[in-house]
Amino acid sequence: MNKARFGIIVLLALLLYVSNAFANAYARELAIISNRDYPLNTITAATVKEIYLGEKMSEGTIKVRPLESKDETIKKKFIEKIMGSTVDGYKAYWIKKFFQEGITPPTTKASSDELIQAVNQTNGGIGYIWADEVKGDSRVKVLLKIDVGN
Amino acid sequence: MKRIAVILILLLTVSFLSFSGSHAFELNGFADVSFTKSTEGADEFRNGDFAFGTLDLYLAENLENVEILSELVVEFGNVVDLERLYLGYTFSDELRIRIGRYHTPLGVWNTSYHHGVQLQPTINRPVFLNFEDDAGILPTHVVGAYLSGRTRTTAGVLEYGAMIGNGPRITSEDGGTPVLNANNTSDDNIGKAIAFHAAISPAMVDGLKVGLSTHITEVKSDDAADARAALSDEVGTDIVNSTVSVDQIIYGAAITYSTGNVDIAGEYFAINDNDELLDKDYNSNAYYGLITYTFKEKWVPYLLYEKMSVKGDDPYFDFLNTKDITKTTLGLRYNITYRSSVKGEVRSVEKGGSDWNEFAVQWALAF
Repeated sequence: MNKARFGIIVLLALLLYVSNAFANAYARELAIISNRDYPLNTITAATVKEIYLGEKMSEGTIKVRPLESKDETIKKKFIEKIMGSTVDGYKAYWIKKFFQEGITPPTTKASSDELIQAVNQTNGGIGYIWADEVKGDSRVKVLLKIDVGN
Repeated sequence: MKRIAVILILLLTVSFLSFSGSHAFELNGFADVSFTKSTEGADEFRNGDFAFGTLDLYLAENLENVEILSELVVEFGNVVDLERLYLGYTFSDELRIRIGRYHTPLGVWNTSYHHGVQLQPTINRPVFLNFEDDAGILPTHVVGAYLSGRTRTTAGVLEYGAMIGNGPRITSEDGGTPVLNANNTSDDNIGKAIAFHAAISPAMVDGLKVGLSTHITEVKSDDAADARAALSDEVGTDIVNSTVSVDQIIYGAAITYSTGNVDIAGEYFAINDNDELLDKDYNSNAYYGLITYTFKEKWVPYLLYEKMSVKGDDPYFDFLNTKDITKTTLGLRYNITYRSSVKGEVRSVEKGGSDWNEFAVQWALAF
């Protein structure tokens, strides 16, 4: 009886381990990328949030220009995990911000490649993208990687 | 109406041309309609009124570090007001300058919520924060220069600003009730209005923001005798016997706190008027407290309590025909989308010795 109970516990532990390993294997990372001339080489998630809320608009004398992809999946992950908001909440925030202060929301690009291209060509450009899409790409700098789960 | 049509055509033309050009200015705006019924007052209030609120047309653009913002509002059916128009330059996060007509940096509500009612949590602004042309008692707009900025410190995020501009005067256009006038194109006295504000969002308490502001100006009435006569004719009483000439200092304190689905806001203003003619001081105050709870992003019940206590013999309030008011508003907002909402309210109002209830519904849209 004790052996059977022990076997069940071991099996459950194994299942838990395997499912966790499986989840980790498929967990994706977001990369915060910037123009190569961006004055910093690293950035915190809190600063990224300030930039995408239109609160931080410059880094030293460089005007920060946030960009984002049209891809709803990555946008949703970014807004939920980094901004701590929902997509509708984020959109409503930007309507308010634009109307209150005339600050325009992040520029949207149609695809990841367009986003990388735009960040590469924009002084002060900053964006977010799936980390695997920018691996080995020398056109931009990776300032931060964030695990956003599945 | 012809003027409105011309302005609308101009705006639409600018918008159309810009979309077809290499640089796009996006025309945005707000609109709202409402129904209000009161248990007291004139027939039109007791019968219940459908009304359109404001049509607010808004242009803003950033060109590198330079920005332009304009907001044109059509209200009361036939009045067109250029509510905001400024040019700005951002040196850094710590220093930004704006020159033109903007909302006076007094407290939270006046700088957070402008003319598009979709953005504000309630149907109306607190009474003491009404705009000048809506019997407002505070100078909500100013024409001048405004320096502002924000910086992150170990204690938290600090926001600050200072402005100088034309002080307001009291006018009575076309023999109507005297109102505050922002002196858009010239100042009627040499004493410029100045204001300072500072706010901190402490790092220790997430979601909390506390701020202070001060506004100093000189206010005089314009064509005082005509205005008095007009007001006396209108309400049948002899309201005032002197013109207004006061040195005014407004002190403001504000607090906002967000935690989870709950948002709390409160503001207090102390208004000191020194009558230059009699060298006499008058102190009045006004405040509100607002609590909202957001349920599943769609439903937002809220409670707003506001109170304004003014000194009856203060010539400033006397001339503006301001009465003490206490108002409690219980409301429910439903967000149809993030751009549109319907709000319903029940209000209990005590004003100048009378009390009544109001019921109101408003549908607002941002486009």
